[in-house]
Amino acid sequence: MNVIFEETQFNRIFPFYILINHDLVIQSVGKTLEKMIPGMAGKSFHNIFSIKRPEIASIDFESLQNTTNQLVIIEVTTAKHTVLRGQLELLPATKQILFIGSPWFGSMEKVVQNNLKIDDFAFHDPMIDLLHVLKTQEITTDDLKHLLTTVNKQKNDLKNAAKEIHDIALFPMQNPDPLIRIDREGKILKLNPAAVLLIDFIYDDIKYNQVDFWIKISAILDINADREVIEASSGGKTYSFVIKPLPDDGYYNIYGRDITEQKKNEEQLKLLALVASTNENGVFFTNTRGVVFYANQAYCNLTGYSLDEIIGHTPMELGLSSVNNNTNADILRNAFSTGQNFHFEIPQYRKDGSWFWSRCKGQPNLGNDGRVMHYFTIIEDITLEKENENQLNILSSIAAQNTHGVVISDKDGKIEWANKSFELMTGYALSEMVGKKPGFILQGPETNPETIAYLRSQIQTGEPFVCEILNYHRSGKPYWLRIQGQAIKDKEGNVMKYFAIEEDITHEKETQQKLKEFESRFRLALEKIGDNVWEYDFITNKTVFSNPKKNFLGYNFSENTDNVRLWWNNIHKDDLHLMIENDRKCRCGEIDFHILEYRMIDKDGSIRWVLDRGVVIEKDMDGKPLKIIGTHTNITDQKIAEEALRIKEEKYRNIITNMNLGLLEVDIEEKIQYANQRFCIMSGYELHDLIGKKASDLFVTPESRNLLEQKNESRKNNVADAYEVSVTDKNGQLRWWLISGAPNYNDQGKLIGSIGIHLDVTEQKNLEHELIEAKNFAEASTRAKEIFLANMSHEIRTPMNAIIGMSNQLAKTSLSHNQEFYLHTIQSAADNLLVIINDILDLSKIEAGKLALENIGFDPRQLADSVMRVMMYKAEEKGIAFTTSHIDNKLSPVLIGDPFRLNQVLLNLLSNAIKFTEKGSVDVSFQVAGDTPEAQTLVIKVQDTGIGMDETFVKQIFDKFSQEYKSVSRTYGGTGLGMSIAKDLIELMGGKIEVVSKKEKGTTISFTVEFRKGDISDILQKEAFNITNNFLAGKKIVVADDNDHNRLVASIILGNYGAEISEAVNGEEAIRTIQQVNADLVLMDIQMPVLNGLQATRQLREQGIEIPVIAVTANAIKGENQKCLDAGMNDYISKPFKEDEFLKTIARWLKTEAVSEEISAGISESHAESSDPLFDISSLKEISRGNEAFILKMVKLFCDQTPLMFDEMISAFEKNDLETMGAIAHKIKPSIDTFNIIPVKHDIRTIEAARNGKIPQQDLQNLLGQTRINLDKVISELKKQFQG
Amino acid sequence: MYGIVNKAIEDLVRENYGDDKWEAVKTLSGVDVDFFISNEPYDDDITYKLATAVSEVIHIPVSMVLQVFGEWWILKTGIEKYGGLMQAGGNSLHEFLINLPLFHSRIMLIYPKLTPPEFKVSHIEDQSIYVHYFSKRQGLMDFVKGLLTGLGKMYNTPAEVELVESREQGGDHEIFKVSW
Repeated sequence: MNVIFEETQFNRIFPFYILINHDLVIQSVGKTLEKMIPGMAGKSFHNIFSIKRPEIASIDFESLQNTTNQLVIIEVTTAKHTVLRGQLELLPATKQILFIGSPWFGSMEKVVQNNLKIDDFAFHDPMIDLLHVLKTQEITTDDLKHLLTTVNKQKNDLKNAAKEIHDIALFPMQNPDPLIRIDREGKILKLNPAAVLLIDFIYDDIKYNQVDFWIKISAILDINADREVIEASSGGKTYSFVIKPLPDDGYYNIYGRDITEQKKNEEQLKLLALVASTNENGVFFTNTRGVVFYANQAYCNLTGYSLDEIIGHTPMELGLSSVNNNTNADILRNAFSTGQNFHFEIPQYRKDGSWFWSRCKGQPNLGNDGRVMHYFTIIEDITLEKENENQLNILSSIAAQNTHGVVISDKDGKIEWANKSFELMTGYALSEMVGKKPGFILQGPETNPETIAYLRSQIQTGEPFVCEILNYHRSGKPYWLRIQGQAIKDKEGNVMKYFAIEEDITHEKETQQKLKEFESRFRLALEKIGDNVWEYDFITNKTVFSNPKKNFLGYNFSENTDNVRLWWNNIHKDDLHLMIENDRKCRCGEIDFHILEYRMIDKDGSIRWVLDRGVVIEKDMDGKPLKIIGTHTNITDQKIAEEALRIKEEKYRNIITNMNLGLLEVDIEEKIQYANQRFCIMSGYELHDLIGKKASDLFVTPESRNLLEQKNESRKNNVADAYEVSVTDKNGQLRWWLISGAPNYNDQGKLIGSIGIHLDVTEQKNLEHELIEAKNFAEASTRAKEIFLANMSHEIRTPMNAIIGMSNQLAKTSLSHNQEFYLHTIQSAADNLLVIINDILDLSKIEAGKLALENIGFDPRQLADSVMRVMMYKAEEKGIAFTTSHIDNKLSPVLIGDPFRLNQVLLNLLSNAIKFTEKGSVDVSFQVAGDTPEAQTLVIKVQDTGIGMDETFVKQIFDKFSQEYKSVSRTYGGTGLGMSIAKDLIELMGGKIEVVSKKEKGTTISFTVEFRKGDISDILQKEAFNITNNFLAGKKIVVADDNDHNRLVASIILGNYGAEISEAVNGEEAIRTIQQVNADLVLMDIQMPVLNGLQATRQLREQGIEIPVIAVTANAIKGENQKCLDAGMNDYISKPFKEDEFLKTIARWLKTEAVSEEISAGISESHAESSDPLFDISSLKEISRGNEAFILKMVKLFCDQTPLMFDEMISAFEKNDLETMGAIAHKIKPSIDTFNIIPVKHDIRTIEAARNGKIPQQDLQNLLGQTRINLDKVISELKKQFQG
Repeated sequence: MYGIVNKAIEDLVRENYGDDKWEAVKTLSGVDVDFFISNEPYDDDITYKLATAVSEVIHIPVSMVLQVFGEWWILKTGIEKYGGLMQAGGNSLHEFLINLPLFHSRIMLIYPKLTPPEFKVSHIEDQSIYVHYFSKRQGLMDFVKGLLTGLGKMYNTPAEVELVESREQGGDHEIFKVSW
């Protein structure tokens, strides 16, 4: 095994090691040892350490070498008592001796004293733990010592406590009785306080002092005896002393007790017993525990026990009280124990088991100190007395508990007693009534005098009486009584008293009264129901009426006694048969009641309808009627109303039957109950085919079944509504019905089904269906158009990219005048074509509602400026004035809206204006028409002095593809879409556009749009790049496009800036190429064969290739952008692209060293950003006709003069002399045009125009600064090229 | 728990509240042990009963009892009985807390009948350390908190102890942030 440690490792494992070389010089030591004894390295081992074990005579390398393989203890000589224990090892390879070990500490404190911490020891070193164990053991030992001390203390405490308890038990010092302890010789050892008070004693009539007394007594005691008792007097009291010898201790404990009272009681008792022995009632004495210790002979006689059987027992044991009467026994026991008097009546059982009622009276016999000494009890036999009392109790209880009033009066009728019921009945208390006559207090004004007389007479003669009488309660409330009474006579028949039982019958009386009233009301009610109540007697043939005075049929009932006229003659002849038939049935017992309606002739001859209701109330044995009772009711009005209703119902039924709407009535189970004629026609069924059938089974198509079931359910929930449903008629024809359905209820409001009104809407439905189809067709056409336009756009854009790209490349080359003209024509045509394509696309987006407007911040002034700059050339080309007559000062610096579309509209209007104006001017103005804190309404007006339009054409100027004459298109070009798009865009912005035009005079087009106001933070910030000629140097870019021309365009542009280009014709090849060349960036066409751009990008990303992928596509459809980003592409350029946009996008993703600065976003970019060459002297060359000297001279002149003139111009600006400034700009302008310095061409014109003072000061200053920078660059470049 | 823990509770009550209160604690807890032997294990239940009874007798919440007891354990029991060992733990609170896991790992073998908790430290900053406390026992978080504040006092470095995570909140152990 060959183990090699690094020094740090070794230090960690053996922090106390010592390495010694052959000369015993310490070469290195462990980190902890170094901490204990710093600075040892390099010193001699001798000087610091001595070896304690083993004993070595002389320490040298040899001797140390020999001490390996054993325990070595080393002492630090500089710090005595610090020792290390361990072992020495020889390292033969290096001839070194290694000590491995650790210090030996006696305690943890030593560790701390040596400035060591727990982490100074190696983890494997148990030294710290050993010390901890040691400490723990110390603590345990300490604990045990403490525990032992505690246990010992507790043991001694226990011993002492036991002794104390023993002493207290034998000799309680606090005892109120005297306690004395004497030794064998009678010497007093201990006295309790009570004993101290006993100064002298009289014993056997001799008086002793305390000391002598106990010496005297000790003489008669035996220490080994059990106990002895003596009596002696002291201080006038008698004491009993119990003497307890304690032979082990060699003394006597003497317990004294005062028995003076006891002695006295014993004497007293003797006297009482003597008295009791002569008493004829039973007498016994009991002690406080209730035990009898004396009884007289009378008690023995009463109970049948002998005296011996009585003494020593308690009265309860001797039969006083029964087991059934524990309460008395308890009282007795309680009395004995508490020392109270007692007196109660209680059964006393005799020895033979018979018993008698005894009256027990007991009283305690108290001592001087108030304590009960004993009881003295007398027992008296009261059985007879008890029996009499019981009988009386029963009788009085009957009277007292009776629910009827019971009253007893004396022979004069004055009340002696009355029970509770009587008190309740009358409201008087017994005490109030005693001595008074009942009639006097209870009778009142409505009491029948006859009844009073009757009562008086019966009482006077001593006869019994029974009557009902109205009496009055104390409160004055009357009540009815039934009184039954009689006299109580003595043996001789003399009246002693009267007693009467009185029953309250008020309720009974009231019930009778109510019954009477009810009968009366009932009759009245019957009479109210009918016009009269009659009763006909079949035997006598007589009819009687309840109210003979009442009028009926114009007759009073006294005139209606003629039965024949009443029942037969007055009845309308057409109804007589009803009466005859009813009479027959009734007489032969077929019916016993009838309800008839018939007409009767009034006395005045008028007809009236009568409701006749009768019921047989008596029959003979054969069931034939004897009496019938009934009522007549005049129902003429009701009958008239019913007739009216019937006529009305018939009218409506006719309407329903004949109406042009089908009506269907179904029951709760949907079975048809009724259908009108129209419904039958609609459905093709006859009515009888329909009745009882389920409507849904007959008509409903499978598609409509669910709907119909829902509707049926909703009817059950009282819902009425209308719905359309498809059905099939009897011929199987599909029809559409509009049904208005409602729940149908009966008279009680219970749902019995539903009613539906049906209208056949089949024709309307068919029409509707055709309309939907037409709409779908139209939408499909629109979609097809959209797709066609998108595809067309894509197909055209693809070659357009090559045409425009190549034209631009061609334009950078040196061309002849003719070539330049041809190229310009190509570019112009290409631009026009692009405009047309964009217009068509915009139009299709607008039509499809897919054109979404931006909502971003923009600077309207900058927008105006940009538009002016773009259109300036065209105006100049045609030689017409192009002005901004008015830009409102109130114009907000920032507005929120779609600046790109606003720009588009303005460009469109301006290009039209310039296009159609041959002489004169085109002017644009910005007017603020409305201004609130939140928004501004702008009126933007474009005015020209062009050819103008006819009034008729003005009206259709916004129609698509409209131009005034076909010849216009030929002369001026264009699609006729521009105005339509402009109008749509403005309306999309919520604005409106107006045109005023006059033929040959000019046209004014103005539009009004409201924009929200914003602030500078709303304007998007974006980076601007300065692109240098070789900013792509060394960058490997893959151009993937299946179109050769487009690949070529991209490659040429990128190649111009130093990029290394690789081409690929499809996605698959692109992936391969990217990997091969280790590309920095890829331009990816979307529509490619084999693998399209999106798929290729996804594969790249899956393979973990994260280089920027920029989509280049001719697909201008919205949403394409998002698709590209979703596929993992980084950015998006649409074809045909602008070269500078194209380069900027690439620069952004390659993060080339382009200088970036924050500028506000505008519509057009600063020319400084352009990658176009700064100048072009082809025109100068043409002028020079090859004369180089001329060219050089012109260049020199330009380089020398221009800066000077520019300085003058700035100086004029600073003096606010804008006129001079403009004039100088006008002078510089031709040279700039000659050198074709593109970045400055616009700006110098703007500066020239600024003499009108319309450009804000700050903007002008910025513009001057920027123009100067650009000119300086041009001059520097010119000097480089021409002056070396 | 070893008797030394219960003994420390006894000392805490006796010294701060008097012998009567300790007798009241014993009566209320029903723990009838006159003398706790330091190095003998006792049922954990005894310790919990004592802590609960102390809470009731002294009228402070159990959590507070455990915290006070934690400080007491360090400042009295630790220093009095294991002074050297405590000092060997480090020269500062910072050092001691870093050595705490080692400290406890060593103890485990010395007290075979002990179920000692395990400590780990993390997030070691100049002014704060996260102490991770792994224990099979429940409900001693406040005791540990007291121990940590006690350590702060021992080193005259008043420390704030914040319970960052706990088993009650769904963690598998407690984490205390000790800052000073």
